Formats: sequence, structure tokens, C-alpha cells
Amino acid sequence: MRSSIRPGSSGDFFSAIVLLLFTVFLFQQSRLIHLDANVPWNVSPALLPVFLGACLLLCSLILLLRSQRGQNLSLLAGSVVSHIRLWFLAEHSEWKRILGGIALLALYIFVLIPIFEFWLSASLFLLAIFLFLRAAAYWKIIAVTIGAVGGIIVLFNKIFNVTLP
Amino acid sequence: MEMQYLLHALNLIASPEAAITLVLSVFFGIVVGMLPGLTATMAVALLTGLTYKTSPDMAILSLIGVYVGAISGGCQSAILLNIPGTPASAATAQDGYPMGQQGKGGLAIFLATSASALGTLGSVVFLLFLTPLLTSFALKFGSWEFFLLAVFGIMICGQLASGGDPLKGWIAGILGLLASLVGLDGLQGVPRFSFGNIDLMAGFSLIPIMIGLFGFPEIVAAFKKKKAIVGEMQRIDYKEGIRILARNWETIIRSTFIGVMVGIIPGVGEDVGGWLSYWAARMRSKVRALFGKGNPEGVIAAESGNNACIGGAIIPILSLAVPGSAPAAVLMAAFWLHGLRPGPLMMTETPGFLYTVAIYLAASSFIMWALGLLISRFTVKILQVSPQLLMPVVFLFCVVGSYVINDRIFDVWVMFAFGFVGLFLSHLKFPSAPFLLGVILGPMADTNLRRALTLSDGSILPFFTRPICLFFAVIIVLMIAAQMGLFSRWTSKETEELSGGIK
Repeated sequence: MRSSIRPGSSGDFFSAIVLLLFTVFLFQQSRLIHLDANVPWNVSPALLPVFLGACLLLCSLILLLRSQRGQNLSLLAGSVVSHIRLWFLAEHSEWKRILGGIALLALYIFVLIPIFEFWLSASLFLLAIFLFLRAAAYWKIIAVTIGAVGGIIVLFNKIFNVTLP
Repeated sequence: MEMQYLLHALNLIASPEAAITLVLSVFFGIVVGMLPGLTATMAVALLTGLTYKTSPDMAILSLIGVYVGAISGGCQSAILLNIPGTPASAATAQDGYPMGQQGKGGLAIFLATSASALGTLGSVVFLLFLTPLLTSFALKFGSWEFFLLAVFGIMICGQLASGGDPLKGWIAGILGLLASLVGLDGLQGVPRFSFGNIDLMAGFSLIPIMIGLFGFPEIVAAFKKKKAIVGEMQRIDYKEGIRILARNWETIIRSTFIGVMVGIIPGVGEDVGGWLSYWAARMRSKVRALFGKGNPEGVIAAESGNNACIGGAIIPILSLAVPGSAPAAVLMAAFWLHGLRPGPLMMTETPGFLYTVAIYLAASSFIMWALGLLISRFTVKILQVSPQLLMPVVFLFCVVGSYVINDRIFDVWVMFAFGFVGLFLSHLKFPSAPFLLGVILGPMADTNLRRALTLSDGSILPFFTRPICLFFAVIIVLMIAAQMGLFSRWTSKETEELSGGIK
């Protein structure tokens, strides 16, 4: 048993556990699809999902065994937990920037687009994310926002006649 | 007859509209290619969505132009920054960057751009000769062969795109296949994994998945604080460059051949083509020790190899409907979106299309050569654009590109969701290319498996009695056996040789 974790093994261990849980869900859903179709297995729409589920199960088990071979299991589990904590608690300033940036992308897609016209939602999004990332000086941020949104509207809406979100 | 098709294709490209489209597309491709973080796949995926409502001829011309430009453009940042603009240019950096450090950056960019153009042109010749051959072979395929071809494609892509861990490549491929099954099934119309949701019943469109998988992780990566140090651009010595190219004609031909062959293998990208060509050049060289220290032959080999992959990757699309690389997979999706049907019947249904693609590729390589050299004067300025300023604008393009396919916001959400899939795949070191190939080949695998089993009354025996099936089955079994370490004695020897060759 090692006292330290092999690089990459905690990621593999975590992936294998998630994939195994997903495989259980896959088999359960495939059963429902097969019952719904009410046809023999060789033409069933659940045939490929079951086949793929079996392959995924096998691959995940190999990944799981490989990731914990020669490792201290509790250290491995601890490493996975600390990685997840890093993601969700955003203890590191870089993770904070990443999570904040993703939150702004989500805000644009799920809130701004359904409410506002393209020019307004896109301008608000760009201004917000540039300011959050401290991307450039204020005048540059405003110029890039106007240029990008205006350019997209002229190119796609006016020239290509495309409907914008 | 062939001449007639070629003349028709030349006529298409001679119009001012086509010429402007091509120049703009190649320019866009080169800029995307040279900016670290923006990949050729992302550029082609983005433009597929954005050109959805233009005429098929112009859309395909622009996509091929972007593809050629992006694969070549990566060399400029590899030489000046030591950061390959695209993975395809990783091998170029080995000798390109040392050349830049020795004050030969201009010469290195000239050699790289010229080798890229020559590699692409060489691959056009292979495209014209190999596509009809492979098509006539593919006409012998039945449902059994098509199912095994899909499995083989994903397995070999998983094997080669995974950076030495095929298991992860295969898992990514399986997940991609599963994503393609969402929606009504193609034979009985039974909803799968839809949970009663109407949007899910229609299935996922390919373009939002591609944009999400390849674009989103790059956008998120730009949120990190980092600043690249850009080298200085030096004057290009054209005479010296032409002399070096003439001296290395053998390397160009060999690398083009390697690139085309690598391109034909399903899902294996231009990066592998570049590396293998570089490795072959180094192995054959009498001055092996000079590789990695600014040897022009290394730059020429890597660039002609990676660009030759483009033509190679299009060959299986046109003959088998199986893409040779990730950007080629997006290109194939674009063909479908514009009503073209690549595959074994293409040479009978639309025989002129092969020649159109060949002419588009050749024209793109000429434009790429001229623009690449012209842009190189401004490369340093372009590379100084902050990713924090660029990537949010790219995200807007991703949103527009996903939305225009069906004019529905659901596709933007799909892009976002698969963006997370791409993010987790890259974070956990799973390759994205097999996932994408799985999404593309899923419907083919599904319908052909069930059709085959219906034809054989549920028997799986034809998979082992039909000669082509047997060939695929043996290769698949050998790949699994290799992964389980059954040939470890041989592979370890080979790995030692390879690691001795590429450092």
C-alpha cells in the first residue's frame, strides 16, 4: 500500500463510481424501453442500450480495479472528496473565477435570453463577464461589446437573414 | 466524365462570391488555428451552425476553407509561442520554436505554411484515387458489416485518441453512442431516454453537441489567469526557404502519405498524423540528434503530415460515411445538414461531389499558403489578444451557432449541457473525439444491428461467417486483447522505441 495517491487515480476512481451508478440507471431504463416496445429482443429498441450498458459496466469495473490497485482506499476516497470540495466550495481563487464565469454563462442562457431581445441580453452578458474577469480597460470593454453585438446582428441578422436568440 | 465534373467544380469556385467566401473562411480558420485554445473542430462546428441558412455550395466551401486554414494556422503560435494553436501543430513546436529562438521564426513559418499547402495538395490526389476504390469496396457492405464498422471506428478512435489509455477512449465512445440514442428510435418509433419530454423525443442535434463538447471547455479555460509571452517575428528568407523545401522533397512525400493513411483511420486526428510524420522523419534522418533543436526537416514533416490528414479524413466520409477525424466528423454532419448523403451510394447518386470537394481543398490550400504568409506579419499582434476578451465573444457565437439549426432555445441548453460533459471529460482525462464519433455513428450502429438480427432471425453467426465481418471482428478482438496486456511483451518494446524517438 502506498502512503500517497498515484496521479490521476482519484479522478479514475471517481469516474468509475459515477459510471457504475449510471450503468444501473441505464439497465433500469432499458428494461422500461423494452417493455414499452413489446417486441422480441433481437429487434427491440432496448437492444443497443443493453449491449452498451454491458460494455460500460465492464469498462467501469476495469477502471475501478485499476485505479485502486496498490493504493490506500481511504486515502483515495479522501482525495476524491477534497477534489469535489475544491469545485463546490471554490476555496482557490482560480476556481472562484471559473465558477463565477460559468454562473454568468448560465445566467445569460437561462435568464437573459428568454427575457430580453438579443442585442440587450448579449450586451448585458458581455459587459458583466468582461467586468467580472477584469478583461480590459472600461473603454475597451464597451467598444468590444458594441463591436461584437453589432457585428453579429449585422452579419447574421441583416446579411444572412438568421433569427437570433 | 471526370473532367466534366472537375470543370464544373472549377466554375463554381471561379465566381466572385465563392472567391470572397473562401478568402474570408481561410482567414477565419488561420486566426482560429493560431489562437491557442480554439481548435479546428470548434471552428468547423461553429461555422456549420452559422452557415446553416446559406447555399450548400457556399457553406461547404467555407467549411473546407476553415478546416484547411485552422489546421495550418496552428503552426504560427507553435513557432512563436511554443504553444500549438491546435493539437495538430504540437509536433511542429518541437523544431519550430527552437528555430524561432534562433532568429529563424519567419523561415520556420514559411516552411510550415508551404509544407501544409503541399501536404493538403498531395492529399487531394489521394482523395481522388482512393475514394472510388474504397466506395466500390463499401458497396459489398451489408447491415452486419456496417454495425461492426461503427464498433471498429469507435474502438480504433478510442485507442488512438486517448493518449495511451484506450479504456478511457472506449468509455467516451460508449457514452457518445448512448447520447445518440436519446429520442424516438429509427425502426419502431419508441421513445428512448426521453422521460416524456417532447424536445428530448426529437433527439439531440449534432451541432449543439459538437459546439458544447469542443468549445465550452476552451471558453472556461480562458477564465483562468494566464498571459503568454509572444516571441518576435523575423523577416522571411524566401530563397533559403525554397532551397530547404526542395532538399526535403522526400520528407514531404513520405509525410503526406503517412498523413493520408492516418486520416483514413476513423476518428484519428491530425495531431497523430503530425506526430507520426515527425517520428518517421526523425527515424530516417542521418542527423537525428538535430531534431528538437531547430531542424527545418522536423517542421516540414510535422506540417505536411498534419495537413495531409485533411484529405485522408474526408476519404472515409465520402466512401463509408465514417469520419476520419473530429473536424471531419463535423464536416460530415454539415454535409448531411445540407442534404448531401455521403457514403457508399454517393458516387452513384452525386458523382460530381468528390471532384467539388477536391477542387475546394486544392483552392483552400493555395489561399491558405498566400494568407498564411501575409498574416504572419501580424501574428504577434493577433496572439496578444487577451483570451478573457476573446472567449466571451466566442461564447456568443456558440449560442448563435446552436440556436440557428432549429431556431429553438432547447438546442442552446443542449450545447450548455454537453459543454459540461466536455469539461468533465477533459478534466478527468477522457478524450472527446470518440464521444463525438459515438454520437455520429450511433444511429448507424443501432439500425444496422437490429436489421442484421432481423435478417438472420436473431442469429449472430453471420458476424463470424461473412469475410468482411470476420476481418473487423478479428481486429476488434485483437484490440481488446492488447488492452488486456496479452501482447505486453511486444508493445513495451515498441513503446521504448517510440519514447526514444519522440521526446
